[in-house]
Amino acid sequence: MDQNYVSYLDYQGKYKGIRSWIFSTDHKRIALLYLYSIVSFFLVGATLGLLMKLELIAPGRTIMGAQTYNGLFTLHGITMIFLVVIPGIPAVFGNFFLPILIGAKDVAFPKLNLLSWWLYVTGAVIALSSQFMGSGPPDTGWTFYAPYSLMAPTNVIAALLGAFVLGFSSILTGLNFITTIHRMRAPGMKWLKMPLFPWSLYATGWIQLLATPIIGITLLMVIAERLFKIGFFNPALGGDPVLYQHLFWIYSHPAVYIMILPAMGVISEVIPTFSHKTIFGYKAIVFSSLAIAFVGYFVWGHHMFAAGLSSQSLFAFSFLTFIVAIPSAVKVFNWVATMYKGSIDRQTPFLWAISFIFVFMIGGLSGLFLGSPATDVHLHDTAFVVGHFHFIIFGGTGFAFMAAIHYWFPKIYGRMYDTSWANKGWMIFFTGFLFLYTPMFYLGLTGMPRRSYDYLPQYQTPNIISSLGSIVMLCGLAIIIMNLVRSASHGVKAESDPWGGKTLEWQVPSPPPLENFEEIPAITNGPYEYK
Amino acid sequence: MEHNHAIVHRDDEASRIGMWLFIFTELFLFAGLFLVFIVYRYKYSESFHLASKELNITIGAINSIVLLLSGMTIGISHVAIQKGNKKLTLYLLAITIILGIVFLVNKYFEWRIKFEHGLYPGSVDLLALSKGDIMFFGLYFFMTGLHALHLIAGLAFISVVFGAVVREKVHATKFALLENCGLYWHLVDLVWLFLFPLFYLIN
Amino acid sequence: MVVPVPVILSYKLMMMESAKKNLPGFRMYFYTFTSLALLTLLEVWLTQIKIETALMVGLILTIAVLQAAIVLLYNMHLKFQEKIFAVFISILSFLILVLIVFTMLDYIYR
Repeated sequence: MDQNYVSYLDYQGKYKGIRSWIFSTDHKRIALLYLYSIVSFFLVGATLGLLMKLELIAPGRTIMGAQTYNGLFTLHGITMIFLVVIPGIPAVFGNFFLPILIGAKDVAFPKLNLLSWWLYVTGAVIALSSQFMGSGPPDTGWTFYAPYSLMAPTNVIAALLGAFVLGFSSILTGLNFITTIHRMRAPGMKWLKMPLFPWSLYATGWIQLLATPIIGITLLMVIAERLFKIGFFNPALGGDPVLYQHLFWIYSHPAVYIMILPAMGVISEVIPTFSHKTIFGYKAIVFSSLAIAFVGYFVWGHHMFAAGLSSQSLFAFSFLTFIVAIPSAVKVFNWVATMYKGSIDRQTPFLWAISFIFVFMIGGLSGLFLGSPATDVHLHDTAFVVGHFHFIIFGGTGFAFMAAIHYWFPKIYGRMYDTSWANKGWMIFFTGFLFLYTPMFYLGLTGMPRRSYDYLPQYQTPNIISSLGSIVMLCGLAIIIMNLVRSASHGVKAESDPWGGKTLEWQVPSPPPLENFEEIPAITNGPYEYK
Repeated sequence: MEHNHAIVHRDDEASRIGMWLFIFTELFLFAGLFLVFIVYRYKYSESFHLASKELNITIGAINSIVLLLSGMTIGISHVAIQKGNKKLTLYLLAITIILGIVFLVNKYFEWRIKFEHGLYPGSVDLLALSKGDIMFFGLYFFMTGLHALHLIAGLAFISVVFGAVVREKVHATKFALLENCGLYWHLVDLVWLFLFPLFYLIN
Repeated sequence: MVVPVPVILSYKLMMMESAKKNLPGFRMYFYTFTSLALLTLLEVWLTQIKIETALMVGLILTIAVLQAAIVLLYNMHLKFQEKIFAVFISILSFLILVLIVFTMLDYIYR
């Protein structure tokens, strides 16, 4: 190792102390700023979720009334979606590892990158301020449907404005990553030699760039209606509330691909490494990522099957929804084929990756019932939908985030965590997760509505199982977090390549120096070349 | 090394890509509004026809020409800077800004006439009209207002470039900032090229 | 009126092509301005003559798209840069078109 090696964590620049972090333009430090912010907001969102589960442990009022519950599920949604899962993997692992994986010293626009984080924090503060100001926390749901959002007597504007600012953060991150990938790949790294995590970030970047402005303008229109009585969505003024839903979901459906594509990218990195085998169907995975990003723009109506769409729309959206499931299935086949006849090393990241495949598939398959209008009519706005999206987003993005943090932890902090505790945490978390969300499918099928603090007595038993599951899951979460936090400062020192990985990050020291590489490498091989 | 330096390397192509990507986001921002316009134009075709007669085609057309002219002046400034002609570049940028201000002044008068006739969002007079009328004028003020905000941002951008040319931070071999500013200004023009016919002419 | 306009426009476009070479010169911007201005006047003229509304709308929108193409290709230099930018714009335009078509699929048939 170079005698002048200084890890990015120890690097001393112009600023000292906390200012050397919050004014840093080093992509690795910005990644950690995002990590700590996102985990904090996740814990806030998880607490809200826990409170909701406690309320739902019995019918009728348990610990709160209807208005409080409405405010809780609204904030839970806003926090988890806009503050955790959408920035999530790109902001943390994309920022940290994209430049390193393509052999670059930083992203294309480092100062813009820092601005993205500041916008994220600003948006979060504005959105959360909605909880504490005069008129009371918003109770519209994170979807802010018209016409209620136009006239709700709660702090809707603050939440909308916060979401708008957060959107800018997302757009700028996407812009930065796309440019970085176009311009800063190391010599010899052609497009089809780039690893799959950067590919997933590329596809995601385009969605962040193009879909987010649509929700931006939609939120502005709602604010304009509330402030200036311009009746875009208000039937009394000639507007159509369903048009709001169209515009909202034109963004929010592609948004779920912002959540899941980077997650799939992480899995595509983890599985070859712990199978000691090259990825099966590299090109298929590349093109399926791009296909998902593209076709994902054309299916938004499947969130609106019960809103009164024309039958032609129902047909078109349903058909395309089934089509868009295909590329995701292609990836699952390829991951499994990669493991087949591989030399499996059952480390913590690998456990997260295979449990990801399991819960992602359940989430995806449950989506098929929602993608067909005939069955969706019975399931729309029931607990079934809640089960579906938690399996696919929490199970998908959440598990992949766990896989990523356990995979790249030694590189980020230069230390190893306790594997035994990490695996125990995984087992408890996974078990709790399954007990928390599986009953929701049954509850939805038998007719329990979502977003209600009360339910009929016949739904109680599955609700009890679900609420107990949430407590188990949170115990697992506590173990995982405590293990990682402790190991960041007290873990055993890690080498450059603890897992035998073949991508560029394993060729630099753990933790990396400020500029990642002493010399930009010249690339000759493709990624994942195992003997 | 005692500086918290951003790892910056000059890459004009990257900054051009970055600007184009930003322009794409703006296109989609306005596309959302045009979508809303198309829906309500379809729903209230009669009212939209009649309401658009309230708008003055002459002023609208003059504004179009003014903006197109400013697109020409900023385009030529891009050539001028590459030829090293600092003075011409500055003149052209100044003219562009003046033309932009002319556009805004026209818009101010247009809006003022509407306000005087009681035709503005939330007004008692407007709310007494048909739903199609309310929608038309709501969209008119929102879309031209948003366009004007982008135009003002564009003027600020051009002013920054003006200062940079004065201080010679932008010159014959380093002009990406001016070029990108031109791209943004052309975007403002592009949006107007659709706003004008849709609001003023389709009747 | 109808006949001279396309003639003038074709002449202008021809001039723009020959003026482009490597770098667009002063002249190209003058030609694009005059083409765009003439097209704007053409649009206004179309509203004054007696033709069917649907035809008028179609023609005016076609002219607007043509103007947009001129601005994109010449003023914004898409014609003189790597193909990838034009590819991006084409895909994006297609995407916006699909958004409009799918939304209208709901409104037209409700």
